[in-house]
Amino acid sequence: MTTAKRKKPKDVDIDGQREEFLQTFFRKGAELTQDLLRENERLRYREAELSSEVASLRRHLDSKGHLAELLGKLEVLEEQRRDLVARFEEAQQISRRYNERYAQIERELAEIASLYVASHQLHSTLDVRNVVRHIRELLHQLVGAKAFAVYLADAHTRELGVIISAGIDRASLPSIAAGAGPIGKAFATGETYVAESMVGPVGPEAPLACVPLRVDERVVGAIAVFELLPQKGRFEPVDFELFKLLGAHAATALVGARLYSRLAGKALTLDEYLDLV
Amino acid sequence: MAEYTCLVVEDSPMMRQLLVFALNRLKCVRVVEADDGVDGLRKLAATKFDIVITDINMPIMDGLKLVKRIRSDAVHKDVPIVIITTEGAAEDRQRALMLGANAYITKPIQAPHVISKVKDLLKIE
Repeated sequence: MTTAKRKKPKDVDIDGQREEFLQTFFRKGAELTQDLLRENERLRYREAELSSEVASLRRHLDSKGHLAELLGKLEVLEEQRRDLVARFEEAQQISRRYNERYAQIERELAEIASLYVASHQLHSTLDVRNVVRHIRELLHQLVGAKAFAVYLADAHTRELGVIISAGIDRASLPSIAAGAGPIGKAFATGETYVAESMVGPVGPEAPLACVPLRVDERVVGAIAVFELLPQKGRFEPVDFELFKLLGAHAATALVGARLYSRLAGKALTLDEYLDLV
Repeated sequence: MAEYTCLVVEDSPMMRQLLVFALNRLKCVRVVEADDGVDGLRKLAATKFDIVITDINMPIMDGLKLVKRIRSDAVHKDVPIVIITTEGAAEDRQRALMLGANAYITKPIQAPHVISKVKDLLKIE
């Protein structure tokens, strides 16, 4: 009895302990469950976060790829732009060259026209006055000479005398001996003289240009240019061509007209032409 | 096919020929020549011109009188007129412009210059 009595509080304790254990167990289990739920929740949240980050990173990676693609395209476009600019500059150069060439051809055509007109006019008449008028016009209008004189040599004395003058008093132009001064030298040597400077005193002592006049190959006179028109600062290449033409044709036209004037307008018969041939 | 008709009034056959050569570069321009002012007026009475180029110093009727007559003519009062002068003749040039000339060219004439003036006045591209 004593033992049973002694055992009873012991049983009560065991029950209590069991009860306490179970309560503790369940509480702990509940706490653990709560912890697990919270952890689960946290992990879910974290998973969502990571998914979002992954998506973001994926998007970033995608955009990086797109950017690289755009940069590649930009490079191609830049290359095309450079190519187009180079081609445009090349086309501009070609166009500039074409325009320059066109202007040069126009100038040459104008010069050829001037030479043609000069030659045509010199030989378009057998009237001495008209030949003289044409020589004057040619020197004034085409060469741009303001003051000039045409000298012819006396066949016996070889002294040069003025037969045409413009812009300068004829009385101020004395006869010139062959070989004397630039005019006499041009006549004696048959070589064109051009002064180094276009400015200076105006007169027979200082002509700007002297052109020997020929009939066939014989020098028979000279043209002297003393002054140019104000708008004409210097001789142009075409002027030297005109000088050559005048040198070869002016005297021939004058002599031809002079000889024709001896016929007094009388027309030659065919036999007379044949006699000349 | 010429679209425009140009009257060249110049007493010097050489200058006239040079002007005709220059103007013939413009395929759209037909050129008619007159050797003084009176001849010019005669041709103006017979044909409608699109432009007139005239020298100032000419016998019988000079360029100034011609410009005046053209400006008082009902048909040609508005026709563009180009005068040809020498560099020294500034007074004549001024008078011609006051009388109604539109432009001037100085001698010695340069073909490209003539072409350029005519193209400007006729508005040829």
